[in-house]
Amino acid sequence: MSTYLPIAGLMDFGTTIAEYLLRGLAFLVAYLPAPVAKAFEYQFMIRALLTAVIVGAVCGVLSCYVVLKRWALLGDAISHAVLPGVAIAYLLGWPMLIGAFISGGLTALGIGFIQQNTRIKEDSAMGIMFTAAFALGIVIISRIATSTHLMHILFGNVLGVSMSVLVTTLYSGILALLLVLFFYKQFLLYTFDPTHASAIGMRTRAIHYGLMLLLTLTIVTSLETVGVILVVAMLIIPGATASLLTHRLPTMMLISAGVGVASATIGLYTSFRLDVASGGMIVLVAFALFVLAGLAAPVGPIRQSLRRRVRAGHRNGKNAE
Amino acid sequence: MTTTACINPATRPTSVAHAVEAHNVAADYAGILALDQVNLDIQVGRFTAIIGPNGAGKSTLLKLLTGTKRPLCGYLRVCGLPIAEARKANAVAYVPQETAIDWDYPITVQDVVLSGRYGHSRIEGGFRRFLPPAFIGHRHREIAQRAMQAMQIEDLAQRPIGALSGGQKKRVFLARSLAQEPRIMLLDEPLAGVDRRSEGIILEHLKRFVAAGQTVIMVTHDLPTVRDCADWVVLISGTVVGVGEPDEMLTPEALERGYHRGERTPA
Repeated sequence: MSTYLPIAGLMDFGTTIAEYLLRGLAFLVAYLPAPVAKAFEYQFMIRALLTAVIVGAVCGVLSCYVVLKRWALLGDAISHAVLPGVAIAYLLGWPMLIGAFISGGLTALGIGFIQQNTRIKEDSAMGIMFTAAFALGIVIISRIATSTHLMHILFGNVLGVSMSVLVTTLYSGILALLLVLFFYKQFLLYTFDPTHASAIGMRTRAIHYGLMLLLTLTIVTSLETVGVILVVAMLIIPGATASLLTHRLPTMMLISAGVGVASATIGLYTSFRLDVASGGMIVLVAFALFVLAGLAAPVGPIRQSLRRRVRAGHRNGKNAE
Repeated sequence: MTTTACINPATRPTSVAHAVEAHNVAADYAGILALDQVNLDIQVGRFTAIIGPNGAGKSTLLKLLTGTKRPLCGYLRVCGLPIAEARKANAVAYVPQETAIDWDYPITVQDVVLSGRYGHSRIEGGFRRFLPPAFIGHRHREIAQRAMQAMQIEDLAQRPIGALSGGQKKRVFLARSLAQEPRIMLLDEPLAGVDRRSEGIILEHLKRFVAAGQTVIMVTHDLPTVRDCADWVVLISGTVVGVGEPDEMLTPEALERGYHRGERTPA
């Protein structure tokens, strides 16, 4: 599994960029408080940090669409559906990420196909397709691979990220963000008012599948970091957290990416200190941020009770007069 | 050819006589026909009201015209163009029903109105058309601004759309349609849940739009408004049951024909 991309030159270029990023990140980390900086002295920790930060940012941006389009179940579906692709790629000696993308993409298309050509509703279509794909993956893996391999796919192995995985993550992350930038208008209208999108000549079906494939790309990118089972958390929690705090989509994307990056960083550090699974820790930190945002949001209990107290204060002041 | 007139907004559609032409159009949902044998010509410059009982296929007709649904069969033209080309030419604007929108969506009034210009910005030259709306051209912003002024919502520009009243919401979407500078405006229940003031503003601008030689097609249950404003009425119940001036169509006999046909099982 040494070559992840067919073009060696592209790989080398990516490696160079990744090395610069790693150096820059190490430079920044050195300014953190000493105990934190100490944890990131190891090369593998810095590499894990960069991978987790990329994944956190990309998942954060995409999770806005997942939350707004109510595609939480779809994220779950695709993340499970990559398993057979990973297993088959392992059998054939292909890059894991390519196999994962193909089987995730096929499942996404299959869900759309069932939904549009039968009377089965979307949630059932997802349930059928992703459990079938996941089952196929389990069957194949039970036949071929060692259980550690399965564990890595299911729960991620961010501390063991190799340079080639990091470079692939970097490339697919950049690609995903560029696609969001260039198709911002399409995705905005598709999630907000698809009829208007159609009326002004946008091809809504193409946008639908495009967004599904983009989601697949993101999930595949995050496999190594948080694993199949927990990636869906990174596709829902950051977006949901951001949606509590703002009324504008660009701001929501920034906050959401921030939540993704913060939970990746804090989660990675905590998992290192406590010696627990990093994927799980990252998701727990994201959840903690969500709870904080829920409490502190404009409509959350803290600000509500503050407002009530201020109001009551006014009234008492008037009564005193 | 008449088609070139429709693509280029600079040349007025003198040769296109029909805003909508439908011959033998049918549409279905999973094999169950919602519309069948629809034959309908709507002339350019009509203020058209589409009326009919619930489930008569009114909304399905709008879906066909916006391209969200493909007809099962038949010949359908908008401004003399096939639907796909009419959409690319920004010929059709659509004002959705209130229930069709997620009002918690994180978007401001200004951004909704500006989205009326996306279709135009997509077909202009230069790199900008690929970028997010923050980079949209100055001209588009001006047109959107004027549309907001016309609908008297410029004070609400920065509000999230969820924080508006029913009438204000409708005016936002009408402003989006005005900003689109379409040839046909489709409206799904534009006056449902709308206060008096908003109703006045909306109807006034729809009348102006028609006076400028464009076409309005409005689905509604509000017969008094139809009598006051529309100059053409299409009565639908699974198919086109009647077409004519409001005076002929809003008679008890004609309405009876439309509203009772739907309750019978189709032959």
